[in-house]
Amino acid sequence: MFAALHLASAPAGLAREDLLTRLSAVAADMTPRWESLADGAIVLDVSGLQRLFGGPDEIAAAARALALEHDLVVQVAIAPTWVAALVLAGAGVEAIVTGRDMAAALSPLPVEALGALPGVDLALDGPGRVRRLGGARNYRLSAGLGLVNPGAAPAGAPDTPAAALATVPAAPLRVPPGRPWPDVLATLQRWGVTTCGALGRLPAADLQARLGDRGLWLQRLAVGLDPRPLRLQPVEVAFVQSLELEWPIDGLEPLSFVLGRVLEPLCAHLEARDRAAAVVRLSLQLTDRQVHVRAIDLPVPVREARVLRTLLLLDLEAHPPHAAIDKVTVDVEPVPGRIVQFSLLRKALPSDDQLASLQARLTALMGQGRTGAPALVDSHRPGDVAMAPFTPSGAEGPDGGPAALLAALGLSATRDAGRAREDEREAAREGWLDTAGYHVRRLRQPWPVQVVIGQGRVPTALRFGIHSRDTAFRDGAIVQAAGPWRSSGAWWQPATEVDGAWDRDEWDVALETGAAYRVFQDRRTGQWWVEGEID
Amino acid sequence: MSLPRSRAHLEALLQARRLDGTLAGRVPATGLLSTGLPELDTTLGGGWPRGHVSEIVGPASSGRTRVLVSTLAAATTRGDVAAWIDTVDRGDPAGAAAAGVRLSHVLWVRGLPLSPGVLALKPRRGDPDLTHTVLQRALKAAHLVAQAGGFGVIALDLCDMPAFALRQVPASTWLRLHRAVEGRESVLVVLGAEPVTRSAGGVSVRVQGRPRWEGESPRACRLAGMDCALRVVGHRTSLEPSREVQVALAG
Repeated sequence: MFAALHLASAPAGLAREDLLTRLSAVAADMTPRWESLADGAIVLDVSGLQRLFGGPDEIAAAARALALEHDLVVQVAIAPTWVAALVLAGAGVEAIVTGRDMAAALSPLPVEALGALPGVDLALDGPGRVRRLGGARNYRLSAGLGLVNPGAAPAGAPDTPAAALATVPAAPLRVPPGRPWPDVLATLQRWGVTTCGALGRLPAADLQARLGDRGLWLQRLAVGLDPRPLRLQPVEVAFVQSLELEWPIDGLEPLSFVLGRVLEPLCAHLEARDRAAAVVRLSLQLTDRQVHVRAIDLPVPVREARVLRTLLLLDLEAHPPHAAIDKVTVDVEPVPGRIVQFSLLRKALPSDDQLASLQARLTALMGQGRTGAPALVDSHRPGDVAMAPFTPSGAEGPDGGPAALLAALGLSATRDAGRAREDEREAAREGWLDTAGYHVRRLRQPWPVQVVIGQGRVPTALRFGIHSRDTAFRDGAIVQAAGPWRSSGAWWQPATEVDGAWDRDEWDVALETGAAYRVFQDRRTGQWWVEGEID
Repeated sequence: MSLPRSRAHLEALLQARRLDGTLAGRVPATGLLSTGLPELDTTLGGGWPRGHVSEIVGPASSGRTRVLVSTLAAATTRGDVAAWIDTVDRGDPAGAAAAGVRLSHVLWVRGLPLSPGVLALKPRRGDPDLTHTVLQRALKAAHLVAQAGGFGVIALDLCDMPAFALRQVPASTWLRLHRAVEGRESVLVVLGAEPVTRSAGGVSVRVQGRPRWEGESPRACRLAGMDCALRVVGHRTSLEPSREVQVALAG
């Protein structure tokens, strides 16, 4: 059963948004299952409300009373389908239709009454406009029409609306595209079809042949068939929890316990609603009447109180409040809970919430931006590197299928599995074939050195200027050198910037001490630098 | 009394006093993890022992970092996730990717990029010791990662740490690291110039290598790879003498 609420009158000067808000509040007070279908019209699924309000009459009376509390006057119709209820309420017919009386109830209404439905525009422009048989009062139904006593209409008679309802194909139809609808209405007017009942009695196949899907769709509406299920409004639930403290607290240790008390019911609420936190916001009301707000954008939806508490505390360690705390409020932005499907073919990885907690701890320890997955940069600048979020479970890779299973088990017996691994390595080596046999331990900031140039402009000695026994960077004669390899780029940028231009000659040199280094000479300044140790 | 019987008797006495924490046989080995170098795997009997702290030690430019990168490549290729605690930020992701490491499976923890000059400085009494701070952070990061679990390899790079800084680390810190990985699936590999720590079931691999050059004249010459001699020392679970294996690392 569905009830349609159609706005009859509202306080003057009320904004449209306020009107919709009040109407939505009336619907939400009765049931969580409702949809706002058009301006000033709302449809409610009232199935099961009998135990709360009583019969359909009591439900309609309760809706009117609730609307009056919001200074609204509504017309209420109740019918087995939401289309029938909406058309009746839109036409001002405060009817209660039960059973299969929908077609009979809609029968005396003009076809134009279907224009109240969303997606249907039956208003005609210009001289061809059909006179609206307007006004709800003209069509207020009475017992004489057989609406109150549905048994009065012979169900088996072929020319009754109920029989017509049976002849309309029940197959689902999509909302037919194309406008305007007035041409359909004009055609119906020419045929002398002016009421829903007359439209419902037309043969469906012939109607479709002449008017297409729009005609058939209109006929289904005319007999009260729903074109689609009701699209329920999502229930907005606020996930906020706060705790006002009797005594101000100072320091993170006592706050840890308070956060636990706040987060545990909040996470239980999230779990009950099958939601998880995407963003968690902590508001600390301080004793100096300021509010210290911290927000954490979580890498994965989390609803474990322990994890959230750890993340909040680690964040507060880096950004502590400047005064004692009077009140703690935590609110989260909810998202649907995660469904984790483990795979037999994939290696078991640390869970996302474990990784989130670990990375938060590591970030607090090492500093912002010092933790993550290394990422290559599409650049020729030597040593250029970037950090990416470390999400191994979300990373796409060749770890699927039987070959990966064999590899995970340490079995590369099949040639395909072995080939797959080799192919992957080859792909990774592309572009760095010359460096795959050794590793360069890079100095993020190159170290200035003195280089002695010998015959043929070949470096012959290297001096680091470091006088200590506890360093691997020791002066020495160069016993082997390879170069120079000229490298330059970003010439359009100033050289002084961090990402500025570079122009240099690189050498790989081995010293008599056994150490090998990559050094380069800046071609603009002539200064030599050590870029890294070859290891 | 024969050696095995003596050993069993000694272990029984330690267990009776609950002093058997450092015995290799107390925690059952949970498997081996390939080093990525077949010759070294053969020498180690399959690879690094999981649940233990092992070491790769060697002087500068010996190829020790390349051996570690091979381990990371082998682990990430199999689908494991790895953590790379880069104490003074010397990592080169491009080189690691060239060696076959799946970067998306590597958690890179970067310490402060200290220059060689700063690392060589011995702090005076009362001065802040930046090297010590960086080392402590790296050790704590390794401990956090080991405690979190789920990582196949945890690499702790201490190559550039001066010896005086490593000597200041108390033994209990290393013991805590051993405990953190004990019984887990993780392998904690410490990379350094000299041996500093190794759990009872772990192994130390000493790397002695030198760059391999191709070409005669400097302008026609290029660095082609590393020739490494790997010697396994201090494998306590094996009574076999240490063996040396030659490995040629090339692109």
